[in-house]
Amino acid sequence: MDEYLENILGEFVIEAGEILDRLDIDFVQLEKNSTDKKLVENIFRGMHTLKGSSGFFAFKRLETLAHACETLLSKVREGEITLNAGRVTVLLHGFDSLRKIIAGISEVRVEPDGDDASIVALLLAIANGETVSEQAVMRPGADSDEGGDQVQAVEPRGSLQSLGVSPGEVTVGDTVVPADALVAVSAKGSPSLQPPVNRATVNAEASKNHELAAPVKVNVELLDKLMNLVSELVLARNRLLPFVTDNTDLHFSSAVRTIDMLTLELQERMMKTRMQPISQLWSKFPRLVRDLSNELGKSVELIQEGAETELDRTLLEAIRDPLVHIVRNTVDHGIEIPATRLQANKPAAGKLVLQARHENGMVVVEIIDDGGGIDFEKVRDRSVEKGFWTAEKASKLSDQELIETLFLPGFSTKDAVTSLSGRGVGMDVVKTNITQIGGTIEVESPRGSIGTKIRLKIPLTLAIMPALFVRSESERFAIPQNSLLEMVRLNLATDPNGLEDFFGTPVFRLRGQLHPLLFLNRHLELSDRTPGPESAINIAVVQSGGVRFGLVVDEVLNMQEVVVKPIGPLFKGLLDFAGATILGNGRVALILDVDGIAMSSGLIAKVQSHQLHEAVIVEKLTSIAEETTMLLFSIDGMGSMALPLKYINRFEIFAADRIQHNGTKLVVNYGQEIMPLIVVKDFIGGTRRRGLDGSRPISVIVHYVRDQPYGLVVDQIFDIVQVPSKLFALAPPQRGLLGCSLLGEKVINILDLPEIMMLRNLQEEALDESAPEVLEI
Amino acid sequence: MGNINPVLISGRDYATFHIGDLFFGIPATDVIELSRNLDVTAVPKGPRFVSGLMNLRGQLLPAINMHIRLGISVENVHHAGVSIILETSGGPVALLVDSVGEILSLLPAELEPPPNKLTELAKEVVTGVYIRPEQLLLILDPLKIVSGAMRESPVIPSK
Repeated sequence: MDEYLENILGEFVIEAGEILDRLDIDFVQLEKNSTDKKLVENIFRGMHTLKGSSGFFAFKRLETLAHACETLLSKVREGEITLNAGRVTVLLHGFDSLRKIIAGISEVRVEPDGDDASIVALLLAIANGETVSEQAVMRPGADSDEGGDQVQAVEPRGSLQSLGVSPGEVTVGDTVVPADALVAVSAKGSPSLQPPVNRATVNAEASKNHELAAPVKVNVELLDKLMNLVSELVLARNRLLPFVTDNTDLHFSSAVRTIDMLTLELQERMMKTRMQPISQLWSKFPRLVRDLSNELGKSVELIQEGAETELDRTLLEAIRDPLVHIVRNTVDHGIEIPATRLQANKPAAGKLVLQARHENGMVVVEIIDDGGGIDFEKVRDRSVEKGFWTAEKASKLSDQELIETLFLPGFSTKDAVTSLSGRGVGMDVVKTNITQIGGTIEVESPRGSIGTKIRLKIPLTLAIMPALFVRSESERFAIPQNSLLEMVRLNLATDPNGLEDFFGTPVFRLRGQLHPLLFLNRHLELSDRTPGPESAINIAVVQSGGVRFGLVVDEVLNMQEVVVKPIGPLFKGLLDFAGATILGNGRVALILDVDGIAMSSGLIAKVQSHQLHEAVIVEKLTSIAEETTMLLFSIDGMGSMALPLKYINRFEIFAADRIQHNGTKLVVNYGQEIMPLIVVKDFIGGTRRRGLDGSRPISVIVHYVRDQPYGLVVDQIFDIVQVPSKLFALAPPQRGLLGCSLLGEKVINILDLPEIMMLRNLQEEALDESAPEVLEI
Repeated sequence: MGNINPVLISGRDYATFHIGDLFFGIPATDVIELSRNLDVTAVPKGPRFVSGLMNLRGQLLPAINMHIRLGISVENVHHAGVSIILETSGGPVALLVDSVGEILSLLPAELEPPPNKLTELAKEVVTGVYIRPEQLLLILDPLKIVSGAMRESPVIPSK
């Protein structure tokens, strides 16, 4: 059968089953209280829905029967007929027949044969207000046998109730007998039954099994609790394992091994309960693609493969928006209009393939189209236009580098902003969302207009993950394995290059590539120690989004599975940790959030504001003019600062009462604009926010970015001076500073404004998006 | 700070503890348990009030250093490593205190407004005082202990 039809038929069976289950309860209520208007209304609606969908599938028996029930019910609803026990019984029989037909459909996918003429006639007769003989009402099944293809069995001459309790004598009509009665028949193997009944029996058993196998609804909270308990169990098991090596008792170690295996299995099974098929997301796409392509005058064929692939429901939720975005993008940018496609010798209808599969413990989702591919020249032009780099540099970028450009904030190649895409929320957000859940995104788009392939790799689950433990000073930290690339040991004494300086950040070379370096102890403010020139350092090479960097740690410990626990609302705004875990000895260890560290340390800002290329370093050291005009000012406790005059539009002094709070942000009213204030000292060196002392007037340097003024808050503005351009690297390098220069005897620090601006924007984004709302208490 | 929330003081039993030379009480109904010798893992760059995270039978709780929270100088510390585990609407928290006293049953009517000479930080969280023959008993509002600690997390001070 057509897979599509098969799917909707499956849905129909499930839906019908749900309706029947609900009606079951309602009918029972109705028997007790046959005048309840609301109940009648409910049952009527249920029947109506059933009739509607059976009409759609051309299930004639179902439709006729449901229609008859509905007719009677509508009369009851309108008050023309009142129900009594006998009439409810007739309805119940109609209802039982419905259930049996649906059970048959669910098994063989077609409507089972059978004749319901008598029960239909009875229902309609009651609906027409005819008086039906008591006997007929009480045993409607008696009639159905006559025209039916059913077994001849002894007709009970008693009350209807005997139907269920004396199975040997039951009339086994498709129409009349409740499923459980039939099961009883088959169980007893009553000799009076002839072959044709077997089908009915099987059906009934199938329906019985179906009932047992039906999914159970479980409270999500309960599931989460269970998951937590299993996580605890995993930790307890981890504590137990070391004893096996210390202990030679065979019984003990075999018991521990059993516990180990059971825990593993339990963990896997538990994980499965949280799994949901990706089809849950994909089911929305046919409609989405249809609407989009209609709107754009395109023709797109959507193909879904591997829709049954399962992943954790929280992850499913997390990839919803990115996937929608990518699919939209593909239809909007990727697939061409039919005329263009025909010219290129492609079929008029574009192909959009969604593929999902498991691969190495990850879920791989691919979005493949046969459209025009990425227009690299357009990307090149747009990246220059947007000021990501100079035309000269852009002309040298490789295709792969241009693809990376697509993921930079604020990039879009679409000429016009449409309702579909091009609203500035672009692939960068997609990338952020995917990396946040430990996934990766890759784009392949070979030249030659043969389409684009976007590949998402997503972990199966978030709750338990492997992590590498490292030590910095006296503290242990876990680095999630999915952000860890490799461990490197760099001997500063023997390495020919050692550490180099890149705009105030140390960098090291790994297989010819430059990687920025971060000292974990300094970043986390554990200590100020930096390694001496003769020492060797341990570097964990990690990846955050597109940025690779090295994290210097004191010692590399072990690899271990950890259970991630949230660290709670008190640490809101702290980007450096993804959570915490409990170690075998009961102590808590923090799990590093590599993305958060890249962000809060300013590394992302650094790398995005100055592309990390060898050429840049060389350029910086050699080709700067003799002197630069700078504004000299001071920031409390940080000495003299300078900023090149080209960044400065004007200075202002604002009285304290002009500073206004916009949520947690500081702004001032500046002419016709609202000017955000950036407290410069918050972005230099350490990451702790110091804020403003709210009583004194403030000195502000006004800096415009595309017509939007930003106020840089400093302490005191002194003078405009000529500063020698020869910069000295800061040792150790500091966030927000380019380096220092000498003005006579005086050392002045040169502010790295592009980095500070980038840092600020990233922080705003991070705080707006990722932080969960704190309970108001 | 003169307005005393009647709901908060209607609980009659108070769990008491010492911090420095001062004597404090919190409604006993908010206390889950007392625990000793739990390791605290520092959270670098976290709020100053928060010493770090504790593991209480698999649950992570923030440990609040009451010396810093109340701005009480640390000269007279006799820290015995006792923590009071409190239930709050934001989840359980641990208060690190110097020593724990007995549970006192007190009449709400005898609660007096907080004294003036408290530190600014203490004023935020002290809702009232019982004048006891041996020493003043300062009553704390557990919710404010945590909400204050939250406000101290990296946000610009509101003036």
